[in-house]
Amino acid sequence: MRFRNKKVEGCFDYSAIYEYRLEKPITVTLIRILGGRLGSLQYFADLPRPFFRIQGQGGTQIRGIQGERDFQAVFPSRGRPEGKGALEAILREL
Amino acid sequence: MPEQSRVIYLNNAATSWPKAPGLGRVLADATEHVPLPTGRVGYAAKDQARDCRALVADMLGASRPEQIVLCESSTHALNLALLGLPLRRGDLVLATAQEHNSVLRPLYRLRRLRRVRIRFVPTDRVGRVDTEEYRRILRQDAPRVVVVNHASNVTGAVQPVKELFGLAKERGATTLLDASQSLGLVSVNAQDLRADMIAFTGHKYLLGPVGTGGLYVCPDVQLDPVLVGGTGERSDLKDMPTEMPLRLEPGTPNLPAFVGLAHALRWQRENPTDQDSLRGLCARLEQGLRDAGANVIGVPDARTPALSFTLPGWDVEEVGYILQKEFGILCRCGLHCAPLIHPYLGTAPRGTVRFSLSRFTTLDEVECVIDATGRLMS
Repeated sequence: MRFRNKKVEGCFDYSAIYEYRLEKPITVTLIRILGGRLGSLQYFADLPRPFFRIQGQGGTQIRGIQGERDFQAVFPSRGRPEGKGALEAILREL
Repeated sequence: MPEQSRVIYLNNAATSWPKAPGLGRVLADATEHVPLPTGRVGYAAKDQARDCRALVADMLGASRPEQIVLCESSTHALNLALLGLPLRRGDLVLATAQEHNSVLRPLYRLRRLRRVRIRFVPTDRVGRVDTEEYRRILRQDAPRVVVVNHASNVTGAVQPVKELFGLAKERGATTLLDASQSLGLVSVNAQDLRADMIAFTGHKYLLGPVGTGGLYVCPDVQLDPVLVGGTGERSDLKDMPTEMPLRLEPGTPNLPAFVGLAHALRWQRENPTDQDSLRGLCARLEQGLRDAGANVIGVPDARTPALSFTLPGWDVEEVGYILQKEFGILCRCGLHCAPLIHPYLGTAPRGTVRFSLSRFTTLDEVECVIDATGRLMS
């Protein structure tokens, strides 16, 4: 899957927030794949559109909304290249 | 993002929206108008900068418009004030834990470059300055400068500035008020508050354009210019002219923006905010958030319409993200550029979610926000 990303504003020096824009909307299948590959998934179905949060190993956090093309990934300062690389490798495979 | 008409904008403590009605047109007109150099063409041009200065001076109780230095922001104004004072090694600057980085970072620079001492007065759990500790520090030390943020941008707590600055003046200190979060909402009178300098911004509760702000400087305070350059007058001098406000205003001013600020100030004067209504909305929001299960930092007595909270089980940035994406509610999350206050509020290290209302916020919007926040807790 093709994607773009850009760094977005954050308050904390120990993490960096990136917004990813995908070529198509986020589906429940994609959410499950990301959750399964990256860490533990929490899925909040009761909101107007389901919100998901993935807590990855190494401190990476992913949050987004089903149906949107964008999601956010928060990478801790330690292990940022690895976490970012792992996420982007999965996206490229899809 | 939902379309603009469906946005609920609760980030007015960062920058206000909507602005004063008609501001867009005024800015466009000012930009398209032939720029006549006021100082050179005499009565052929209106002195737009002086017009804006006079309105601000009137608002702050300054006796002369020349006491108002026009700046691009309150950050700019605070830098002019703090870095322009003749502070030396060992001098004490007393500030409070609820200061914004626009004060903290210039102070850290002063400590690094000039070996100035800094002490911070703690706050209580709602962000109000601990006056007992403040008095204790004043008894044991004699600050050269006392800096106080009039209203916390995190909790909305308005500080007892008259009392704080009265005590500071008894100790011979120069007083600097950061009115970024208060001007346009509460009375800010230099004499009444005993403020020697007042920094303000035009784009928050004055409803003016971004890129506007200023510094009131009382005649007793002499500031060294932080920036130097062309002034259009006294070009023969090797240093900046001594007269105010020219001394602190090198470079071409952003006149269209100050024309816009003047428009906003006139509009506000003719259409004063219904403070009771705004307080009522704040109270309703606070109660609604509490009922939804939020940990609200409830500020008793004097406050601005900025309200901070956290939601159990949710990171503050997630709350902001969901409110924006799912409900079209724009707010601010995190430390709000005021890192020292959070340990006192019990919100370190992640900070808070902040809703900041304006005179244009409606009860319907507040009810939508309460409902949306409640959905996160259900």
